[in-house]
Amino acid sequence: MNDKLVTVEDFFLLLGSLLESRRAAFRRRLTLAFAVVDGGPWFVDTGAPRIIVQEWRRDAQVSVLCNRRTLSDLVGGHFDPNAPAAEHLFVWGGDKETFSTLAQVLGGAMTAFGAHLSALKR
Amino acid sequence: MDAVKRNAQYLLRLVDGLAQPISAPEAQAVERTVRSLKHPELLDLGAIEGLGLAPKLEAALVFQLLSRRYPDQVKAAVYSAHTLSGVFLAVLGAKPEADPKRAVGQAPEFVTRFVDQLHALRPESDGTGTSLGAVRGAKLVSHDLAQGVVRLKLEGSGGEPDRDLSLHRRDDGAFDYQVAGGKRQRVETLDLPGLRVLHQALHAATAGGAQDPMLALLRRKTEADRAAVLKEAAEHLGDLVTQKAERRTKELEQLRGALEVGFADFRVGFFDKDRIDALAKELFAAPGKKD
Repeated sequence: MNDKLVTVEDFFLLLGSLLESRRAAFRRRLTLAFAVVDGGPWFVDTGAPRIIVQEWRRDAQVSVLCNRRTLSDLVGGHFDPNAPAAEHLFVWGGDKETFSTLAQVLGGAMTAFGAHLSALKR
Repeated sequence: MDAVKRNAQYLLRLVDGLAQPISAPEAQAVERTVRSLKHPELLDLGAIEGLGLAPKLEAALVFQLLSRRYPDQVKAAVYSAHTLSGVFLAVLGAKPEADPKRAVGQAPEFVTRFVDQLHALRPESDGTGTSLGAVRGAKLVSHDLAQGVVRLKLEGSGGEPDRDLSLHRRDDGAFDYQVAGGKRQRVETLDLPGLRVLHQALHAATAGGAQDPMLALLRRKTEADRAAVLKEAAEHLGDLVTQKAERRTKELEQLRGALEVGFADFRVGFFDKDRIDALAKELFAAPGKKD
């Protein structure tokens, strides 16, 4: 496994950039709260001027509990939701439609990121 | 053109180049070229860029060169580059729906950092700080008590040359390090493997394990000095190694703690949102702050 982890900050910078460039694709506002056990709380709101902020809010449509290793491997293609490694953690709850929309918008032939998110829906 | 855009365009060209089909004779020509190089380490990305090759050949050449030196890192970087190419295209306004000004404002930091990583691929870092690169060990060269300086030789591995490194005692008792005339930095910013290499070298020297003739001479001349500076530096670095290792252990314990709250057999997938929220509240609770 690759030991060079993407930082949690970089992961959310990347996610913010992806969502920023796809704002028009969201028919409704999506909110997701990420609790990164070794990287702090993050809140994603596709309708806000700043899509990503570093705080915890329980009023999100979806809550995700994960760790840095999983986020890093999600970007790097080393995280297989169907066969997670011992150190992987990605548990989510809430509105399935929100998660599904996010995966669709991020999905596509170019992004393994979207493909992995789609796999998590199952 | 500013550095960020230039870097991003370089990465895009590389990613686009890798995505283009390459014929068997072309691929073989690139492979032959790389194999024939006596000193592939001298051919850096800047030099390759200056060759003015077609994008697919340039990308193949970079890929081959880096793959030989850093196979795992390249695999990860190239995979990420493909994964992220959509992002870079979007943030640079290559896609019509993107607003280039807004998008570039969002991502330059990430693009710069990513390209920097690509330019400075170095193995053997654990991501806890700055890597010293491919180093198999360090050897004490000399020390100077009056100046508070310890000089070491970093022994390169995997084709990397040896480099000089010096430790400088600061007024506050901590140490800075400096590699081959580069910038002086605090030793705390090194990653664990780097700290361990330096600590082991100094520890061996304080324990009298070093066989270096220069050290033997110094030992005869300045036994007391040697004990002072080296021991101090070794202890300082030893403390840092322990601290960083403890931090990592704490992170793992935090994760284990999270897993024990009902997630032991359920690490990935859909779960009850209220339980996730409750756990997150516990993890990030700040006194007096509303969730």
